[in-house]
Amino acid sequence: MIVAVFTALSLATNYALIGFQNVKLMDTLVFIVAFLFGVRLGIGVAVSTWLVYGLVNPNGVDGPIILSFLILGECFYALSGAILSRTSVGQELSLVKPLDGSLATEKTSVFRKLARRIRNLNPTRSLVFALVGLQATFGYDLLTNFASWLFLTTSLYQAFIVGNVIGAPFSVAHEGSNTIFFATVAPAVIVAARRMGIGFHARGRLK
Amino acid sequence: MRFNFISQHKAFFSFTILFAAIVVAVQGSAYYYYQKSNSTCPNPCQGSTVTVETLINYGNGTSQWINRTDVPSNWNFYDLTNNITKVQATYYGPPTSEHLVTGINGVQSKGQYFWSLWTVCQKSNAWIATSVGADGIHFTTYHTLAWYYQAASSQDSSAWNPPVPGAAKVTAC
Repeated sequence: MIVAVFTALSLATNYALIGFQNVKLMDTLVFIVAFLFGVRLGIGVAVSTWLVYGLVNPNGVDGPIILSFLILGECFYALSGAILSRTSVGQELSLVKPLDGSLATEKTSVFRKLARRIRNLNPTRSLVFALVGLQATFGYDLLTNFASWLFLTTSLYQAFIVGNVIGAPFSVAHEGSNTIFFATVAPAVIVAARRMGIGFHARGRLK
Repeated sequence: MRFNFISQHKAFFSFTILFAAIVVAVQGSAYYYYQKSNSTCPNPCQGSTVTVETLINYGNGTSQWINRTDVPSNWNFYDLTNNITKVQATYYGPPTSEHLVTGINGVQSKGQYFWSLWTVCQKSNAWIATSVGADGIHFTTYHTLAWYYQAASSQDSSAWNPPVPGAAKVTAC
């Protein structure tokens, strides 16, 4: 059920963002699933999303070899989410303070409520997720840029260097956008899930 | 409180921040090298003109060779295509700053049909599908290029047909 919902969400956002090269929420969603529900479900979302998005895509269909590299690269997000959730840093960062009841009842303007919520944000949490997201995206880009040139160059080394130089503008867009998504969307969803009692941490399974 | 949290996990933060700095340095260098190697033609050829042959294969048996002897050497292949044909394209801004050509002279990409971009590799005298878009092709290296409207079931260019039927094709130049 979780895999189906998050795969649908990933596909919907991927197609909605089709006009923006390498700017996708999918990676953040795979990370969130693995952080909250474990690596198996994260990989499930990564594989099922790419099986659809790689084969039904207005920009062209991926061949089986490049598709397998894309799936493998997407699993980096699942692994990083699962690993972070098991570290003491990840567990402490997913702890949340109870909501201030006055937020819901007090007669304040929307902007004042928003400002109060922004003040309550945890910049350390955003920093950690942004750094982890940047590193996982870097790994993904190195692997997939290399794979794009695997059969078009005369050596593996050449494929790695040429792929990553020619793919540099795409990597920059991908890593920049993912750093922003990981710093904003991932902590927001994880904190909301924790408050609703969803996920491993919320149920205290890892204690 | 926050500084306390960071000082409790010094090793984690030291490693992740250091690794992130390496990522930024590596990616910044790669992007700089890409921009540098992709920049317009160097000073000696500024202001000069070159001869470029362009083949447009519409995929229905109709082909057209367009030879131009007065192409400014600082143009890229998108500029030339835009000059000699009626192009429909989607522009992607920075950092890629390039055009996705979706139609030439009214023939639009449709389903699996799209405009593939080819050039002649001088070394092996054979056609090769280019690794970069039209904006990234300058005339210091290539002088014979082609647009070929064809259907492809895969993004793997080694499976595509060359723009001239029966002509030699290579995957690396």
